[in-house]
Order: sequence, then structure tokens, then C-alpha cells
Amino acid sequence: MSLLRAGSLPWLLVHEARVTWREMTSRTSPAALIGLGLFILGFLHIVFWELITSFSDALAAPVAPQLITFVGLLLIVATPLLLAYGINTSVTAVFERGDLDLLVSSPLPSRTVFAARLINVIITMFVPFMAFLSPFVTVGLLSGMPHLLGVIPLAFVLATTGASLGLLITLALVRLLGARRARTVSQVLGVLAGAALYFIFYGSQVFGFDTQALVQNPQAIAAYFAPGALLGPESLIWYPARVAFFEPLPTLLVLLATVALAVLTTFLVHRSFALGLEAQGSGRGRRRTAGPATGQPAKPATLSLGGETRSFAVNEGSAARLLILNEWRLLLRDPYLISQTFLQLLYLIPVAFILFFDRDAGEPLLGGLAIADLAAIGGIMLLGVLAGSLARITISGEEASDLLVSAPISARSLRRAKLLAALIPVWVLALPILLALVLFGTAGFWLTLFIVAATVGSTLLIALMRLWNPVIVSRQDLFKQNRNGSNTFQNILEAFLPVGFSLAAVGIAMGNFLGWAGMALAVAIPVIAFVRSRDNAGAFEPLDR
Amino acid sequence: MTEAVANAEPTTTGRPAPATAALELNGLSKRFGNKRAVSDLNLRVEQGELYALLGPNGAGKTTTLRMVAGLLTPSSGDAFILGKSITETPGQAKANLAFLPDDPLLYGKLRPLEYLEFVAGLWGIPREEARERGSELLRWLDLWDHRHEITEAFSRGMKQKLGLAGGLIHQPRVMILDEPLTGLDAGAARDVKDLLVEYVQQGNTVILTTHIMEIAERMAQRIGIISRGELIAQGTLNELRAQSREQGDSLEAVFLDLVERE
Repeated sequence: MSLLRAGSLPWLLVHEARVTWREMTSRTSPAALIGLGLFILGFLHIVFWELITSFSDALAAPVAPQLITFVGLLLIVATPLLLAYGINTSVTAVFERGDLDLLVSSPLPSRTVFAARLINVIITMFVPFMAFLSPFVTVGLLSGMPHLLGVIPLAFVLATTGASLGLLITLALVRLLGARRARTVSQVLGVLAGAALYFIFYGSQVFGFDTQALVQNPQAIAAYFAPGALLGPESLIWYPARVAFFEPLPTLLVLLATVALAVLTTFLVHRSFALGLEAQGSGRGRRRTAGPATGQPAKPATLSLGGETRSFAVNEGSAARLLILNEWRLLLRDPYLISQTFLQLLYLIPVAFILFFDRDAGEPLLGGLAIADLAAIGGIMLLGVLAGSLARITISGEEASDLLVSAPISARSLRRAKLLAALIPVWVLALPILLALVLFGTAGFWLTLFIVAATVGSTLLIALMRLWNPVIVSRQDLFKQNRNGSNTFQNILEAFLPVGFSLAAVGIAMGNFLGWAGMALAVAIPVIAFVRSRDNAGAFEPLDR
Repeated sequence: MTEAVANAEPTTTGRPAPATAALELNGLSKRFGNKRAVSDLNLRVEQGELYALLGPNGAGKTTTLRMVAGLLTPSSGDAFILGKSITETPGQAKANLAFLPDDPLLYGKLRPLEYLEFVAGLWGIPREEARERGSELLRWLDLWDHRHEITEAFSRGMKQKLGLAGGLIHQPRVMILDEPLTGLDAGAARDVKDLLVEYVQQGNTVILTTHIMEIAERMAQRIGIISRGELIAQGTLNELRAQSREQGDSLEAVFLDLVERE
């Protein structure tokens, strides 16, 4: 019997892989996609190479127990982020793939459908993990340190654990709250999980527990990590960290435990998965009933339908105001879009907290940079991402673009209004952050000026990039990975622009090559986006094709 | 263009034709890459006419209407709405035009009156006047009971009627409708037909595409048939019959004969 028998799990996986590949290459050529992948790998190697090779003595086998403990702590710190990523990827897998209705309504066992989707989520998470860890593989191969190849099973362990737990949480929410509410709540949970570390760390200070002093005084906690202690080097808790260095027994045990978690997840929730989808389907398109016809005026006997030339003067300024206010009203009425955009602002809370309330925010911390400066640089990135999301909503999410184009308003006015609708909220949020940087930051004049310029520049450019490559798509599909109308290449460009500006700020402040790499990204990305837009008609202009 | 079309005399509604046409197409053409969608289209629709544009799928009807509404740039030629060029003076041309695609252009999270006020604002109508006229339209189209609901909860027919109200809110002289009756139930279709007839009776112009021959047969004063991007015939139903081998037959038979001959 063929391994790829129709209806089997491998057959479904091949189908999923083919669909994913077709979606990825539908608007971006395979060559461009591969080129971009190689560019990202090269960029990560450049950024991390120096760091890894400078620690090559410590990384050589046998690895010191302290390093294993350090890696283990890093993994614990990263767990909330892993969970956040797992939940967000699961939300995409459960709610945003249009083919699940078909699959679940087919005679395929729900276990097969769920297992295929779980593996899909695992692969979706594994690929970026592996990309980030690839410099370790290269160093391991080139420097005769094969134990560093342990990052490969580690990436698998992280992806499988994140995917399994993410799907478990998401589907538990579907069962408890129903599909619609579960979708929004799971997204909120994803963000909260990502920010959990901060809340634990700073939140505990609010309640009088000085975690910062504890971290700054490692001797106080060293006893917990001594041999024979609860968190000693031989503790099971560090087994995942040992996977990173390919220690045979821990690797085998952790891999087995991870696979067991995935199998258990499949057996536990495959039925809920199908039920969750049914709930999602049944909620669709439900109509409200009409309200009582209280005070209904009589239908007018006649209706004036024109017949004489109208002479209203179209004022472009008032039309632009009308458009901006309409955009904000539409956004505020859509909890899904709010959850997709303003939830990102939760991450700004730590930034604001540090800038406004942390007494030590002005103390130099890293490369002469104060924590206030670092927070402001993080703010650049978050505000850039927010500007990108809002521009996506106001420009690509226009529900009645034909109406706007057929109205007697110039395309230029329409574009300006759309840009302002996306940028005004972002700049209003940026203002106190930048003000705090000026007041509390230790950055010199030029760095402060650069951070201000980078905030304005990255938010403006990311919105312009969306305007240069406008693809109109349904608002409900805007944040769906495969149906948001953008091509993969454009999404990656938008994701990396704020990264480029932030890296540039850090690099310039610390005076190292990261600044040039960041600057190169910040300049190259808008240029690439602009060049790619040459064949497009301008947004809200008559189309050529 | 075929000889039949070239010889066809434009027939008006019985009134003397005003000097300025409601819509005039001069050599309008559109190519998509190597594909010719619309080819050298010449057409004149007088004010006060209801003109139906028929054609098989992919004939170029929607492309033509989208060029007229300023949504597509013509490859060559021009369209004039009440004498104003859509390519040279798009703002003036659009001021007296409403375009309604087959899928209504609504904002799902707006209530009907908010939507109408917004559309009116795009055409420069003061808010108070927009609200008054919007309320009047909602009552006229039997949507008043639903004024507190957001439009994403509307049925297809309700959306189509609200789209129509959006087209009428600025009292345009010319309305272009692409398949206005698609997906409507009998009651909603009758409302829309009644409204269009009344709109034309008040001296305005409607240009519509439809696949429903009965609509064109009963409502349109003149009918144009487009096939493979070319206008192959136009005139009243009787004039089309005269051009067809299927004399005395229904519009459907005449249409099929003319299209097959091409």
C-alpha cells in the first residue's frame, strides 16, 4: 500500500505543504523567496557569528555546568514567548485556514485532520527557530564542535511543545467560550503570555519584592544552583538545555517526552477541534432580527430623485476629515481589528513603565546605553509595527475602494487621509515616549535626535510602503496569513523595517557594525518596496489592470 | 463595429434629445496585457434614457462600466459624462455620476444612516441635508426599521438597496449599475426596478448591465449588445429584431442570434 494513500496522514501533509508553497509563491516568485531566505540566513550569521565565536572556548565540549544552567534559564525566560507564539500560530491554524470546513466535513478521521494541522503548526514554528539557531549549526560544523548540532533537536522540541500547548489552550478556550470569543481571548492571552515575564519581574516590585536586587546579587541565589540543590546541574529541569549540546540521554528523553505531548494532544482534543470548527461555522453570517418598528414614519409618497444638476462644491479638506473620522469609527467598532492592532500596545506598557517609573532608568546599562534609551529603541520597533498594522487596515482593508475612487475627490487627498488615519494615533502614542527619552534618557543629543527621527521615519515609511503596494482585501482576512492580500515578500519587508531602524539606533549608540547593518536595512527596504511598486497604479487611482 | 450598429439611429424616449449626452464613449478601448477587453467602443446615451448593456460572460461590459466610472484607466479613447471627460476632468465627471457594482460598496460596521452620511460627504453634501435625505431614502426603500443595525448583518437584498440609496444620496444625473438585480428576491427586485423607472421618469439616466433579458426587454428604452469587447448591435428591441434573423422573437432569441453571428 502506498505511503501516500489518499486520506492518509502523509497524503494530507503533502497536500498542506503544496498549498502552503503555492500560497507563498502566488505573489512572490520561488527564486525571490529563496533569495530572501538566504539573505535572512546571511544576515543572522553576520549578526551572531562574532558573538558565538567569541564564546567558542566556553562552547567547546565538555560544556561547563554553568553554561547549561545559563541556557536552561534562557529557555525558562523564553517559555512565555514560546507560549505566545504557539497560541498565535494555533489561532491561525484553527480559525484562518479556509479549508478546514471541507476537511472536517469529509470522511477523514478527525484525528488525521488534527494531526496534520498540528504538524503544520510545528513546522511553521520550527522553521524560524531553526533560522535563528542556524549560526550555531554552521559554527559547530566548521569548528569541529558537532555537539552544537543539538540546536536542531532543541528547535524541534521548542516548536512541538509550543504548538501542542498553543493548540491545547486555544481549543480549551473554544470549548469554554465559543469560537468567536475564543479567537479574541486567545490572541489577548498570547500577548499577555509574551509580556508575562515583564509583569512578573516588575509587577513583583510593585508588591514590594525586590527581584531586581536579587538578580543584581547572584550570590544570594547561587545556593539554589549548587550541586545537590534543587536546581543543581544534575537536575531534570536542565535536560532541555542539555539537548542544545546533544547530550544523548537528555536528548532522547526530552524528544520522547515532546513527541508524547504531541500524541497526547492529538488524542485529547481532535474531537474538540472538529467541534470548534462547527461552532465557528454555525456562528457565521447570523443575522440580527429587526428591532421593533417603533415610531416608524410613513413611507414618503414621493421621492426626489434628482433631475437638476447639483452644484455642491466638494471640499477636499472636509472630505479628508470625513475619511479619517470614518476610519477611526470603523476601527473602534471592530473588536477583531482592535485585538490585532492595539494589543501590541500591551508591550508598550513595560516601555512606558521603565521610562516613567523606573528610578534606575537613567543609569548606564549596556554599551553606555541607559535602560531608558533601550526602552525607547524598543518603542521604535513597536510603534513601527503598530503603524504597519494600522496602514494595513486603512489602506488594504478599505471596504469600499470603488466608492472612494468613483467619488469626486482626488486620489492624492484620499491617500493623504488614509496615511493620516494610520499615523495620527501612532504619533500621539509616540509623543510621551519620546518626551520621556528627552527628559530621562542618557543618550546624547545626536542619538536622541536619531531615535526621534527613526520613530517618525519608520512609521511613515512603513505606511508609505503599504500605500505603494496596495492590495485591497476583506477586513476579516487582513490579518490572516494566507489571505491578507500581501505577498510574503512584502510582509517580510514590513516586518524588518522597524527592526532595521532599532538596530541602527543600538548600533550607532554602541558604535559597532550593527548600526551599519541596521541602517542598510532601513534604507534598502523602502527602496526595494518602492522599486517593486513601479508597475502598480497608485492607491485609490484608476487601475491599469 | 458592425454595419448594423453604424446604421442604427439612436432612439430617444420621445422627448427631444438634449444637446449634451448623458454618456458618450469615444473610441473607448482597454487592453490587459495582450488581451483585448474592450475595443474602440463608440456609444451615446441621451439624458432621460434607461440603457441596458447586454453581453455574454467576459464580453467587456463590466470593464466598460468601470472605465466610465473612473475605476479603470482606458488604454485609449475617452468617456464623457454630461460632457465632462472622465480622463481629463474626473472630478467634474464624477460629480453627477453614481456607480453601483454588483457587490454593494458598504462598510460592515456602519449603520445605514451613517453610511449614507459618509457617502454624501464624499460628494460635498452638508451633513444636515445628508441626514434628511438619507432618512427619506431609508423609508422609501423599507430600510427604516433596520436603521440601528450595522450593515454586515443585512441580507443581500438589504445591502443592494442600501447601495442604491448610497448612489442616490447625492442626486446624480447619471447612474451606472452593474447587475443591479443579482441575488435579489422577487420583492426586493421589484422595489429596485420601480425605483429605477421612477428615477428615469424624473429626467435622469440609467445605464445598466444585466443577464436577465426580461429586465432589459421591459425596462430599457435602448439596448446595446457587446461581444468580445465590441458593440455588435444597439437600438430598441424592435430595431434589434430587425437586425436579427429571429424577427418577432424574444430578446433572448435575438441576443443569442446576434452574439452567435459574431
